[in-house]
Order: sequence, then structure tokens, then C-alpha cells
Amino acid sequence: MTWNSWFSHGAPTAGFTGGPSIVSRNNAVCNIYVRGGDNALWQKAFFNGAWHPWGRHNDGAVLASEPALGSMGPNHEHIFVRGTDGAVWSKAWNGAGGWSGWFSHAAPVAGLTGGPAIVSRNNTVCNIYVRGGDNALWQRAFFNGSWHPWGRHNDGAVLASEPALGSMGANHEHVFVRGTDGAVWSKAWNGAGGWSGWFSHGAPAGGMIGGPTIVSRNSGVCNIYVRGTDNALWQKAYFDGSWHAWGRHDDGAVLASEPALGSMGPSHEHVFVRGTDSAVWSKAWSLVPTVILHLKVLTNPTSFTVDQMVASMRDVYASRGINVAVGSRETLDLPLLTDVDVSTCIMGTTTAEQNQLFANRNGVGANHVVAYFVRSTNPPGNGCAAHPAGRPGCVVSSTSSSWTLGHEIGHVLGLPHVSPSDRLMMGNGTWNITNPPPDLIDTERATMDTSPLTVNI
Amino acid sequence: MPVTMRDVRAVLDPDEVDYSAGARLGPEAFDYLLALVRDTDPGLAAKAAYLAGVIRGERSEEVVAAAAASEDALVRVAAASAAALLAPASASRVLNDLVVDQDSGVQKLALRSVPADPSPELRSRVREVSAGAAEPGLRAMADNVLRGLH
Ligand SMILES: [Zn+2]
Repeated sequence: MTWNSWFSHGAPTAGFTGGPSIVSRNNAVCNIYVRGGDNALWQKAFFNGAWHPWGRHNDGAVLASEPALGSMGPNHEHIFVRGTDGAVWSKAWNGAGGWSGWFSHAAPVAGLTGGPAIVSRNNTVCNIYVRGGDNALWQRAFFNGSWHPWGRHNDGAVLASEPALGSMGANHEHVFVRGTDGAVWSKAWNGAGGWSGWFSHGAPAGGMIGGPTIVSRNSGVCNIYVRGTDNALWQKAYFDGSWHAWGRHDDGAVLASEPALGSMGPSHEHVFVRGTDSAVWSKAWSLVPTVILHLKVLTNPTSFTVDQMVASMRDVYASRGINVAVGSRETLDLPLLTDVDVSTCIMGTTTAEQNQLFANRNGVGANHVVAYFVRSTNPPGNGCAAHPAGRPGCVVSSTSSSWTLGHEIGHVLGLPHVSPSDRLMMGNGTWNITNPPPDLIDTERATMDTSPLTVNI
Repeated sequence: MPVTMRDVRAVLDPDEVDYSAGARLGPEAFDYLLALVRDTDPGLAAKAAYLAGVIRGERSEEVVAAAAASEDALVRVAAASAAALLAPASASRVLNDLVVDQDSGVQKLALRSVPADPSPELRSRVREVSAGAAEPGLRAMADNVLRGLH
């Protein structure tokens, strides 16, 4: 199990206000929704194994908050927003009928601060929660086939953020908020015992900005995520029956919004945020098909650094859900192998020098791939993926493009050349790639995923 | 159809170059190859130098010799390697300096390209390497070359 790299989803052409919201109505679909810079609802969808372009909901709606998303079944999702009238509005999508019209849920008598939050603990129930104008928690419920009036939680709680909702089972839901003390507080409801009291989860060292977000990828796990005051992602996890300490994601990400969480299966969760570039970014935790790449450097490349090449490769592979993990990095002082004989560079055939070079697998596991960064190949090429049996890897010349590494490892994973110049595997030279980052297509992704060198970790 | 720079680049641009297919461009490619060898892009210059050898024409030596004079060691590596494809007299001329190049990678490829019947000058330079190269691997290679000479 691992976090893959952050991946950009871009932004609507109109830009967007605040942070993203997401929902997965089943394990094959994920939708990102944002309040556009034009206050319309914008959506970007993942289905058929790929992300599709941003689209605008041209239904006249004017949003006065970020949207809140939920699902009441594998073919249903609905979206809740604050309207310009200060009421909560929603519309729903289902596989048979498409989108409904917008429908008003009015507002608590005290009004509401910010936008709504929703949760469906099963396919027959939906609850809207808001931070009231009185800073109390307010709730409006759908059950027995209809919506019921707004009600106030008269438990003395004073909210300092919008609530965040989650469920760990068909008869459980819990609500998380920021308290006036800057800590995360939660309380839970279950069918047998009703509501618990409020319980403090503390806060990351240094505190947090805004409110919490939560996700339960299965009934035994719950994760709280917040944007720390250091703008890093912070997490506090519940598993094995108890809550664990706050931890910081030291991945360099700088958040410009609260995170939005989702899950596409019991072993998967992903987090979406607004980046400092005003795009939506996400990363996922799951059993991710991963290429474990070891870097062995005889001569550093001249046009790009090794790190830039790895980043370029990650960019392309991540666009198809394949993670690239760097297993190790080593400098090899082999001056008589840095212009390595590759002969005709045909897969399955190697020269004595290739055999010698690829014998350097210090710290490399059996299913791991090695990239040897050499000065040149002989005859001259940008790289070569031919390798001795049982020693998977490639060589990359110092004159290679930033895409050569990903291209050669693509060969190692079983990909042949293709003609279009917008593809990673284009046979006419990766220096000539026309729409960086280049593409991998469905069948290529399948081939890579099937390779024993792509391991699910 | 006359050969154009576009045809030459179509052969040399791929990450993995198919030189035997590229040989079909024939002698008309030499002007372009010479231009690429003299260009500032060492990756293309190296590929062009090697293709000039593979084409095996009257101007092969001219292009390979231009590469041998490059300031960039990896272009000289390609020249040293391409020398193996030249006629023995041409190869000897190109390799004279390359076998004693200051770069051990260039020397390695140059030693490997020494023809079986080298010029006396080249033969004596191989002996120099055998006797005095800092890199033991190069001395061993030079010894090997000397044993194989006619
Ligand atoms: Zn290739």
C-alpha cells in the first residue's frame, strides 16, 4: 500500500473558487466538482479508466459555496450547494434519467454559515448538516422516502468550521468539526445508541487552517485530513480499533485549500486539494501498480537531470495510474562501460558489455527495473531497452530527451513503438514529442499493468 | 527521390536508431551528415558520424574524421566506433589520434576499431597504449589488439 505521486487535474477554464469536492458512486467512477470562477458548477470525471476534460453545468445555477457531494447507490450521485438566497439547493444524477433540476432545501431558522455537508450511510438515508448562523450544528434528514424539517443539535457545541461527514457502516455516521479551541471534534451516531458525546482529536502540531475532512474506505478505518498551518497535508487515522497520532505528509505538497477525500474501494482512498497553481491536484493511497526503478549513474545526462527524467516518467505513468517508485540510487565508476556496446539493440539479445553492465544489481529486487545512465551507447542512440534475461532494465544515454527514460522502461514493460508523435512510445524519437507530457493509451496501460515488473504495492 | 535533411533526421531521430535501414540513404546523405557532425547537438552529431561509417561511401572518412576532431568526447566515441566500418587506410588515419585520446571511452572504441593491417604509425600508438595507459582495462585491450595484428 502506498501513496502515489501528486497528479494535476488542471482547472476549469473559468478557474474555481475554494477547493475541490469529489464523489465516487462506485469503484470505477470518480467525479470532481468545483465552484467555478464564474460561480457555475464545473465537473471533471474519471470513468472507463481515464480522466476526461472539465465540463460546465449550463443549468443557470449560481453557487454561493463549494459543492458537497454524495451518493445513494452505484448509479446515483447528488450535489448540494448554498444558493445566492442563503438556502441549500441540490440536484441529483442517476444512470437512467441523467440530472434532475435543482431543488431547494431552505435553511435552518438561524441561517447557515458557509456551505452544506452531506452523508448517506446507506441507500435510503441522506443527511444534510450545516454550521448554523448560531454556530450550532443543524441537520436535515431524508428517510422513509422524504425530506424532514431542519433540526438543531442542542448539545452546546460551538462550531468553528463547516462540518465534515462520514459513515463507517449502514447504521453509523459521524460528524467532525473544528472547535473554538482549534482542535478537531467529532461525535457519532449509530442505530442502536443514537448520538455519542463530542470527542476531541486534537490538532496537528502548529495547528490547522479551516476545518477537517474525513473518509472511511471501509468499516474498520477512518482518516481525518486537514490543511496544516504549514500548508502541508496532515492526517490522523483510526484503524485497529483506535485513533493514532497526527502525522504530516512530507511530500512537498503545498495546499491552497482544505483537502477533499474519497474512496474507490475498501483498499483505496484519494485526496484532492487546490494547489498553489490554482489547479486541482490529487494523490491516491491504494494497492497501486508500481514500477520500482533503481537508478545507476555512470555519467550524468546533459540536457536534463536524472531527477527531471524520473519526474517526466512519473508524470506520464501517473496519468495512467502507474506509480514509479525509486528503489535506490547509486553512482557507478565504470569508465570503460559508460560508452556501452548495445549492437543492434534488439530485445532478447545482449552484448558482453551489456551483460557486464546489467550485472550491477546491487540492492535491486527480482521484479525491479534498473536504468543505467551512461554517456553513450555504441552505436549511438538515446537509449536501449535490451537486457539480459532476469536482469530487467535499460540504458539511457547522456544525450537523451526527458522522455527517453520512460520510453525505454516502457519497452522493458513490453510496449512496442507506435507512430503518433503525441505518444510516449513514438518510434520517431522522443525529442520530437509534440504535446508534452506524451500519452499512454488503454492497451498500453494494460500491457504495463500485466508485466511482472509492475507490482501492486 | 533526392535525399533531404528530413530523410536523414527521420533515420537519426529515433531513440534507438536502425542504422542498417539508414544505410539505404546512400552517399547523397553525406552533406547532411557532415552538417550534423559539425552542429552543436552532440547526440545527433554522434549518430550522424556513425551512419556515415555504415553508408560506406567515398566520403565516409571525411565525415568520420570531422567527428574525430570534435571537442565532445561522445562524438569522438562515435567516430572511433565508426572507424571500424572504414577501409583499413582510412581507419588508420582516423584512429591515429583517437587511440591515444585523453578520454578512456574514446580509446576503448578506437582500440576496438583498429584494422588487422594498420598503418605503422597507428601500430606504434597501440603499442604506446599497451605500455603506458593508466587504465589497466585499456592496456589489456591494446595487448589483445597487438596479438591480433598481421
Ligand atoms: Zn524505443
